[in-house]
Amino acid sequence: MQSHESHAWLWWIPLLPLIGSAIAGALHLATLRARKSDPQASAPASLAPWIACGAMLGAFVLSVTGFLELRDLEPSARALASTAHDWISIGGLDVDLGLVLDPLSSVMTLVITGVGFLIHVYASGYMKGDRGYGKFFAYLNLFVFAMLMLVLSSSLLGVFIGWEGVGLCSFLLIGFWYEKGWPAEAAQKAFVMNRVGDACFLIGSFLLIRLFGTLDLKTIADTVGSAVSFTDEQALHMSLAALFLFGGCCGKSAQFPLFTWLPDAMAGPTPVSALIHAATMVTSGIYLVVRLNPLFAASGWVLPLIAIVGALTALIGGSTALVQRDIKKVLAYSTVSQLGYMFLALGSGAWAAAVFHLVTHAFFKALLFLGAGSVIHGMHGEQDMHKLGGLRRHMPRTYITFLAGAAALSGLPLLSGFFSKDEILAHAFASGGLYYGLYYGLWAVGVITAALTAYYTSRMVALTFFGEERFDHHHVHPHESPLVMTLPLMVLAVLSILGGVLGLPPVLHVPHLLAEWLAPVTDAGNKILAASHREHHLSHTLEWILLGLGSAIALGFAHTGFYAHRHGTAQDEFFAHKRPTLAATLGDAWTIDSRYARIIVLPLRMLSFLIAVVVDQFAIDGLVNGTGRTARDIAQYSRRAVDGSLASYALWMGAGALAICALWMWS
Amino acid sequence: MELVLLTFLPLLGALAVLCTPRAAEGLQRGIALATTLAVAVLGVKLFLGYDAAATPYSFSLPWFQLPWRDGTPTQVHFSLAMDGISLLMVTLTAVLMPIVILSTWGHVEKRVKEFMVWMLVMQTGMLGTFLAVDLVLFYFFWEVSLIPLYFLVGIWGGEQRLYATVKFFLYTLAGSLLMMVAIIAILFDRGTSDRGELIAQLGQTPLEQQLWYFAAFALAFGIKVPILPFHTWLPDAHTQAPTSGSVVLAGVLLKMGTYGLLRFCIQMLPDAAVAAAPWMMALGAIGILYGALLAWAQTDLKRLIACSSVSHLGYVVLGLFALTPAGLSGGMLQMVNHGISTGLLFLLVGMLYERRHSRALDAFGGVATVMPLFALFWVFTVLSSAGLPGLNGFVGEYLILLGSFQSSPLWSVIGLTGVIFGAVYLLMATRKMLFGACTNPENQHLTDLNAREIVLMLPLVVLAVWLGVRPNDFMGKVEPDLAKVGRRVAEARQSTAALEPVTPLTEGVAAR
Repeated sequence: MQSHESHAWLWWIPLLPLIGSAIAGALHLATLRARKSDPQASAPASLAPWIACGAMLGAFVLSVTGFLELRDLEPSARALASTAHDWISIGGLDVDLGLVLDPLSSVMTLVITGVGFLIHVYASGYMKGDRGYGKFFAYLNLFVFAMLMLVLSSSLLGVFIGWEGVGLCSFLLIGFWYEKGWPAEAAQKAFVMNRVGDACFLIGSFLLIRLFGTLDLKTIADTVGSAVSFTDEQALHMSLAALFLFGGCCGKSAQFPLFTWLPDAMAGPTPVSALIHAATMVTSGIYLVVRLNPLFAASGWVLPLIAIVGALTALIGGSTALVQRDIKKVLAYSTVSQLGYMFLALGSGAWAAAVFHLVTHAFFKALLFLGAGSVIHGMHGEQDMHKLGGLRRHMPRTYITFLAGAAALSGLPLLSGFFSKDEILAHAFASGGLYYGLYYGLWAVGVITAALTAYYTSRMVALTFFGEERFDHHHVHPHESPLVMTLPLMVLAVLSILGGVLGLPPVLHVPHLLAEWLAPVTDAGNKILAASHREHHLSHTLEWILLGLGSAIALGFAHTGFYAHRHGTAQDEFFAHKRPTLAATLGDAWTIDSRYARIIVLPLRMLSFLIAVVVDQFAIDGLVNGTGRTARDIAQYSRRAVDGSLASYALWMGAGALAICALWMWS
Repeated sequence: MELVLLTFLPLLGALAVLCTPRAAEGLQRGIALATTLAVAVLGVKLFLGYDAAATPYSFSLPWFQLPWRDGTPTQVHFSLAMDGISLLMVTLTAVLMPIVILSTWGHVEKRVKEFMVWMLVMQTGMLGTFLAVDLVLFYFFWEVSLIPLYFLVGIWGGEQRLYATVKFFLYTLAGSLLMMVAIIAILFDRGTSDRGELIAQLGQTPLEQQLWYFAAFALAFGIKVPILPFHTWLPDAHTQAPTSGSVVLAGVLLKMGTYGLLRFCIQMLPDAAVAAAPWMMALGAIGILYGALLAWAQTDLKRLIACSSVSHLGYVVLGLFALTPAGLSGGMLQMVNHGISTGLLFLLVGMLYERRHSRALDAFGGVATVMPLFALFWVFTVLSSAGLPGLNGFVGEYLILLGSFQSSPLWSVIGLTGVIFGAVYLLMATRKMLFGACTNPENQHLTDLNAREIVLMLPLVVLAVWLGVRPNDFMGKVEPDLAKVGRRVAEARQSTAALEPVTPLTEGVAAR
């Protein structure tokens, strides 16, 4: 047990949501008890959102306090730490359970608690009347606890607690409406696919222990950062460790080939999609890579691999979103695609740009999901955009805020998404000459995806809010959501519009606030990249050209998308009719998921039956039972010898005597 | 003396139950519960008071002499002793038993008297096995713990109990006999049956001879664990056993096998262990995968959990025979973890069976809507069994996989697939049982857990969290003894080439 350091208050940041979760859970159980006498009771659980939102607000205030405290320190000294107890010291493995608030974790904490608080408030309206009202907030707060542990932990094993913890809460919340059946299946799929990534994560951690003898993140980063050179063997191990950790990131952050769980995860309630499957949990992978940026910078070929995977995922996600009819599916594939952008940034060594896009994406994607939730809420659960339309008249507040989020996602000039996406593409372009021009190709994929993004976003806006009303007026009466839901939308809309000030491009001659803030964390990785001649600068002219190109593409394709779809579903039907194969392939996310079912799941399932029936019952057990039967048969047979006849006894005796004599003479 | 009291207290309880009239079932249950509770209190007291640095508890009396051919008789001692390794297993046994007895309120209705007697006799056998220092005494207790289960399954078991009992009995008996041959050979060869002396002596014997002993012991313990391919008795025995029998079987009896592997195959025969380690690791790792795939194909809940035991004990074997400090500690910890999580799983399945009289997965669906508390406990237990960080399973699994990665990355990675498949079959079972709509009318009126059921599971739940959050509290007591084993193995390994460690990247740290 180590002594508490001066920053023990850090523990309250994750502990507040944990306590909130426990109380909300207890309230839920109390409600269940109350329902025994009154089946409609909702009494104790109706307190749960107050507890949960209060815990979130407390954690947010503490995060802001921590941020202010950090800001007052010298940049190189910006880290508050508290180690509460040495968690494991068994069998030569020593791991401390400690928290560190540094510039990177401070950004993450602010996003998690800030956006998280808004989503909690929204959820208190959205989930009202649900039978599991209290349980929902217990899970949601538990998720925030795990997510905060993930970004605050000082060791990789501590990160893994959060890493698996968020996976668990994601599982619980995707399957929240488990009575329906398919959410439970989606939840199982998400958990198992995440586990595939987690297994990779564990291998990565074993390799790190072999290399560094510790799992302390700062020690690892500093050791790589200050090492002069590596032996070939060390370099190989670092590359492998980075590769396997990235494998873990692919699972959690829904990258190719492990992304297919995320669209299914939309089976969960919409606030969950906003918080977990857009703003926070799925960005864990980006956090981890930035946290260990010196390791990834020094890992040679892993970095371009990350860039390729990122660009490919961006393209798959973006193109699939084009043809989805479910509004949440559009947003889900869009999230996959935007996460791909972030990994493209990481693969280009643009750590700060990745975090910048993470932050702006958290704003506008949370906003879009909550907006979609407001639509679904107002339309009594309808999610098919072909059955919506013309809603701007019925839901003005949702419409305006949704428009802000959509514009930011499309990358319309001067909005937050414009700056963050442009920065990623500029970095990819600047890395262009490396690996025989690989990055030029990746940049081109990024630009194409930007065009797709603008198109599908405005299609979504057009189909949902414009055109004729395609719902049954007798049964559906669209209504605007209550203020408790629309207020968070407004706050997020402001953030989506103004978020760009965090990272304005260098051509404007203003400081890149976020990059400067993150410098103490990212300097080590940047230094390694610079030493390997990966440092790159674009001329101002070129930057202006790229900015202009980005604006033109966003505006042009947003315009095209809107005009093609503003009158309704005709364009979709035309496309599906004209290119049925392409439409089907895109609709099914390049058929990757169904291929998994055929190539991986089915053979494994057959293997499992083969083992259970043929190997286990027939072969092994057959042998066992066969042995038993043989023994019994021999016994049966020899029993016949003991038949009570004196003559046969005498015969056996004689034979025995002969045998003994023969043996004796032999030897 | 504490150890003798601890070991024979259950036997005294059994005698007391024997003296009660047959009809006084309440009294019989009461005596059994009181006895096991007293043992649990004693066990916990021993655990809390245990200090690895102090002289360990021990007890020794001359028992009988074996007249050998050269005239010098071999003295067999009735000797018990407790080091950290024994301590952990004894405490697990002591804590688990009152829970097992309390669980019988729901499912043992006939011949309560005999049931309690056999349970208590079995506890004496188990405690003695973990405490015996003398090989002959160890064998004695080993057999004492075997016989009661034969009756527990044979009398109070399910429909095909006779097939299961005979199979179980013959399997384990074959193993026991092999062990007996090995013990006689050792007695004959060395003239002593004291474990301490043998540990000092047998390390010096030639490798070939060690390997013969190793083979006999490994087979005997391997059947008990069970290690692939000697596992087919386990699913049958588990499926047919009454809930309480399954809990003891999974919780303690299987651990006698892994305990034996650690004590005899590794500690006593280190050279042979080093030589056989690659094969044992292979069996462990393949067992993890095999057991998981086997569990995935099951349609009977209880059978599914039994198959998951094969997978989980594969972890223990993989960790122990990694022969690295992390692997040994992880294997040890996993023994305790498996006792807790699988014990809970069997308890829960038993509670469901008592209400619904079915174990078929297809019979359920949507149970969470009618039994929310049951669902809460079940999901908790599944997570503990699947190794979620923060609960008990994780630390053990991590150490095992890390330890085996250090000595053989291949088998570690194969074992890692168990992390994935473990989630697959457990969640598949959870989804089919708890989730979906509750359409089957037979499930719609199931009553949720009652107070007794919650209380009896709570200690295990607390332990699961405690072990996950503060594993040092438990492993700190075992580490010195495991380190001794580790050192012995390291000496044995010096001749054998181990995996060349990577030069650590520490220059940078030193420079700062």
